[in-house]
Order: sequence, then structure tokens, then C-alpha cells
Amino acid sequence: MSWGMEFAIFGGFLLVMILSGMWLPFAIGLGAVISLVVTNGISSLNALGFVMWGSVNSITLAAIPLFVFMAELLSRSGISARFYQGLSVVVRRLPGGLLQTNIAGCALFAAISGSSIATAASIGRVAMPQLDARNYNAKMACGSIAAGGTLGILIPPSITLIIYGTLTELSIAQLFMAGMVPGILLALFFMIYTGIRCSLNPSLAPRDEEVVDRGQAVRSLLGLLPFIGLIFVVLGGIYFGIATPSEAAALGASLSLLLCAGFRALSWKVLYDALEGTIRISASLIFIIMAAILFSYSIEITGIGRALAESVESLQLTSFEFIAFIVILFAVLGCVLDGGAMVVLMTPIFFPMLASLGVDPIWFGVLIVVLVEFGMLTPPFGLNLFVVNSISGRSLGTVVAGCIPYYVIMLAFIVLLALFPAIALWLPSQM
Amino acid sequence: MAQDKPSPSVSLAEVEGGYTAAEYRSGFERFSDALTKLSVWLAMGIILLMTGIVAVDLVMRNLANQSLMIVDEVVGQLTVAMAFLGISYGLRRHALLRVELIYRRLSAKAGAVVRICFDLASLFYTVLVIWFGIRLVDSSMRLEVVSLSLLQTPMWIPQMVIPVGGGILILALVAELMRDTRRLVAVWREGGRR
Repeated sequence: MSWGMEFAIFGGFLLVMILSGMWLPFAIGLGAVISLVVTNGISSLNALGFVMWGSVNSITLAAIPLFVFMAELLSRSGISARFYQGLSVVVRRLPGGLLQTNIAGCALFAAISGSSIATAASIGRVAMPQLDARNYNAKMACGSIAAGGTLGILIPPSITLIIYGTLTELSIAQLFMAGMVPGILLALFFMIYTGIRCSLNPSLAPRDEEVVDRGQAVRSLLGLLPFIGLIFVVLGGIYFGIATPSEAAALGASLSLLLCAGFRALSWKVLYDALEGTIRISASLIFIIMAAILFSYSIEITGIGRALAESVESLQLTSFEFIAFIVILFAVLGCVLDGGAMVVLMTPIFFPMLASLGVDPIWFGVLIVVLVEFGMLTPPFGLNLFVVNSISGRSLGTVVAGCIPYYVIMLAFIVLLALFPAIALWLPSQM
Repeated sequence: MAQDKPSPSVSLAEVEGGYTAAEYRSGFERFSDALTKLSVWLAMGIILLMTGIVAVDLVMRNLANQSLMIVDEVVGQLTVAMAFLGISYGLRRHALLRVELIYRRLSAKAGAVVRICFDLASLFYTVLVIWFGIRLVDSSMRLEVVSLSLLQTPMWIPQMVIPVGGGILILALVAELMRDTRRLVAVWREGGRR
């Protein structure tokens, strides 16, 4: 059987299982096992135990539950709400008022949360009642939270970058730093757009008449300090090489526990809920990673990956054409697959091709995250759309309409990233 | 990719109930649920243990120039344990990711049949995971494989989490299969209407 036929059968079988609704960890794992048996016989499964054990027996992967635990603690204890209130005093004077607070809040919350959904949900739950009470434009309100939430997987820590780094054996610390400048820039672009739009049409964001005295403003700013301190310790620890991402995550989770206790927001219920949420999210993710590594192993053993890379080489694509192909592929796949599934399925296929095309693998990781962010905002699988839809009670159409300007900004940002790779690569080169 | 909110395309705990659903449970299902709860409590303890070990080692290394020297090994093994002990809970709460583009458009009867097929396919995969997990444990015992760190842990001990966690997952999948079979019977009697 030719590799093309094998790839078609294997890929087709996997796609049918995934699209028909089978749980992803089982669908990907079973697809990998069947492809191994069909192409190399039952004996090819002998190494399955070692591959499974080796794939997840890693302190690097421990960063996932530890970062999730940190974000769950801060979100469930209500500390993220205090942080939003404090930030609103600082940012709401900008044109756009609380809409700017939403984006800045998401960008800062992203620095302690690795998930877009957690970021959009945490900020959205606090922001939506205030935006409704002040009669902000619904589309702008929903769009700013949904788009701001996507920053969760670009600004470090990022669960998507940990998964990409695990599959490609790249440095997670370097990937995190590569996401930092693009994440901040994207947040700034979102804020500039919001400011211009609200300056042109002030009815979108009514001016806040509430007078904040100096004492209250100072107290709000001081209230932000512990949160900023936590971000500095976690990200600074990684940047200055004091801590690995897993160590920074454990330190961040420990400090979050202390912060919750300090704010008298730590109860058994908060701790239980945070741990329960952590297990629910992390166990499933790590099982998906285990299945994805089996998938990667099967692609290597069956020779499909090598053959695919050779055939792409024979096409003599330029790196620009390759990137354009990836962008189109992710946009199309984003209509049928969730972003995380795209990363675990596409990375083992395309990563081996990067070296011959001269594409920097760290930069490619950032590109993939921006494409996944884009997918988080596009129907029918844009999870952030559903988060905001559920929190705000607005129709899905309103949320999608609110996101349209952010699609344009993100597409323009992808072009900018392709033209100036240093946006992503400068900071890791300084480490 | 971490999910904690309902959406029309991704099945989540809040959508389909999990422990909150008031439903008939057979003795076997109650036993499976009890084991799942026990394993998730262990997994929660593991998260706290991992947080403590890694943070203490980091602080000791930076402030006292001392290290526990075993953190990489122990935390890697705890990560595997957390995943295998927590996965049955994720399944019970229907918090595992799935794409529902086609599934949601099926009739109740077809949907119930498809669910049973998925349960059986997932069971098959989990049996393979356990089988090769047991072979891994067996080879580690026979070859007396120990870890490279100071602990020199016999590797079969941490590797046992694969058959143990996998076993609890099998029970949870069988319980899921029983629930889905009851659902199929119910929709069959109702004539397959949504």
C-alpha cells in the first residue's frame, strides 16, 4: 500500500471518528493504534506501554495542572473580580471606558491563566453586569470580551504552547517568551481599535459619571499590586531563568493560595472547586496529549510523516507559500475542528517540514497559537463565542457581529507577524 | 483547549449533568461512581502534593542552595498518576472534548446508537492501554528496572497507575454503556423522537 493510500485511510478514519462525536482522547488514540496495526502489524504495538508512559511522565507537563490550578484559585475565590474593579479605575478614563478595561483585564488575566476560555469566562462574569448596567453597546461589549479572552493562550503562560512544546520538544520557556510581545501588541491593537471606534461614536460606550476620589483611586491601584506582583514572579522567574515553567506554575499556585488567604477569600469550598476544576480540565488534556504522542509515533513508524515531508519538499514551496497554506488550512479546519484538536493533529504532520523550508519552529508555534485564537472566535467552533453567549445572555449573532472587527485585526496581525518574525523571536533571543 | 463552559458544539459537564443528574443508578454504577470519587480525591491530593514539592524545591534551591534532587522524577510520575486517576471523573462529568457537529443533528435513536458505538470503541482502546500498561509493569518487574535518581524507585510501582487508573476508567465506561443502553431503550419505546 502506498503512503498516500495509508494516509488517506488513516486520516479519513480519524476524521470520521472525530467528526461523528467520539471523545477526542479515545478517537485520536484509537486512530493511532489502528494505523500502526494496519501498516506494521500487531507487533508494532509492543512499544505502546513505553510510549504512553514516556509521553506523559514529564515534569514539563506538570505545568498544565499547576497553571490551571493557579487560575482556578484566583477565579473561584473572586480575586479576579477585585482585580477587575481596581483595573477599571485606571483604564476606564480612556475612550471606550469599561470596554478598554475588558481588554486590558483579559491581557493581564492571561498572564496568570493559560486558557482562553478561562480568561473570557473570568473577566466576562465580572464585566457583563457592569456593562449592562451602564448601557454599553451589546455588540462591542461581547466582542471585547470574546476577543480579549483569546489572549489567554498567547500571553504566557499558555496551555496551547505547552502542548506544542511537548509535541515538538522545544523549550517551553522560549515559546512563552515568544508569545509575550505578540500578545501585548495584539491587546494594544484591540484597545486602539476600541478607542477610535468609541471616539467616533461615543454612544457605544457611555461616559462614566461616577466620581472617584483620590483615596479610592489609590486604594484601587494598591489592590492591583498583589496581582501584578504574582504575574511578575511567575513570568519574571521564567524569563530570568530562575524557574522552569513548571516551577513558576507551582510557585504561582502557592502564592495564589496565600493571596486568597490574605484576602480572606480561601474556604474549603473554594479549594475543592478549584481542585475539581483543575482535575476535570487537566486529566482530559493530558490524556489528549498522550493520544497525540501515540499519533505522532504512528506517523513516524508508518513513514507517513517522512513521505509527506518529502513530497512537500518536492513541490519546492517557498516558506511564504507554506505559511499561506497553513493559514488557509487552519481557517478551513477551524470550521470543523476545535483549536486544541488542530494543534495536536497538525503539529506532528507539519513540524518535520519546517527545517527544510527555513521556518523557525518557535515562530511557527506562535503563528499556530494566533490561528487557534482566530478559531476561538469563528463559528461554529469558536468556544469563546459560546462562553460570552452564555455569560451575557445575548444571541450568538450579536456576539459574532461584535467579533467581526477583531477578525480583521487578527488577520492583519498574522500578516505583520509573517513580515516581521522578530515580533515573536526578539524576546526569546534575549534570554 | 481546556473547557469549562457549555457550547452547542462541545459536550461539557454542565450540558449533560454528570453527578448532578437525578437518575436511576444500578448497584454497579454506584460502585463505579464511588471508585471514581475516590480516585478524584486522590488526584486532588496529588495536585496539592505537586504544588508543594515543586515550590519547596524552587525556594530551597534559590535561597539555601539545596535541592530535594528527586523532584523531576517524582513530579513526572505524579503527573501520570493525576491523569490516570482523574480521567474517569472527566468522563463521568462528560467533560472530555468531543466535536458534536454531526452528532447533534442525529435523531434521538441514531444518537443513542452512536453513543453506544463510541462507548464500545473507547472501551476497546482502554483495554489496549491497560493490557500494554500491564506488560510494561511486568517487564519492569522482571528486569528490576529502577529510576536513575537517588530514590532508585522500582519503576513498576509508579507504572501500576496505568492498570489501576485504566481499570477505574473501564468501570466508568461500562457504567456509561449501561446508561446509554437504558437511554436507547427509552427512546426506542418513545419512537425515536428528540
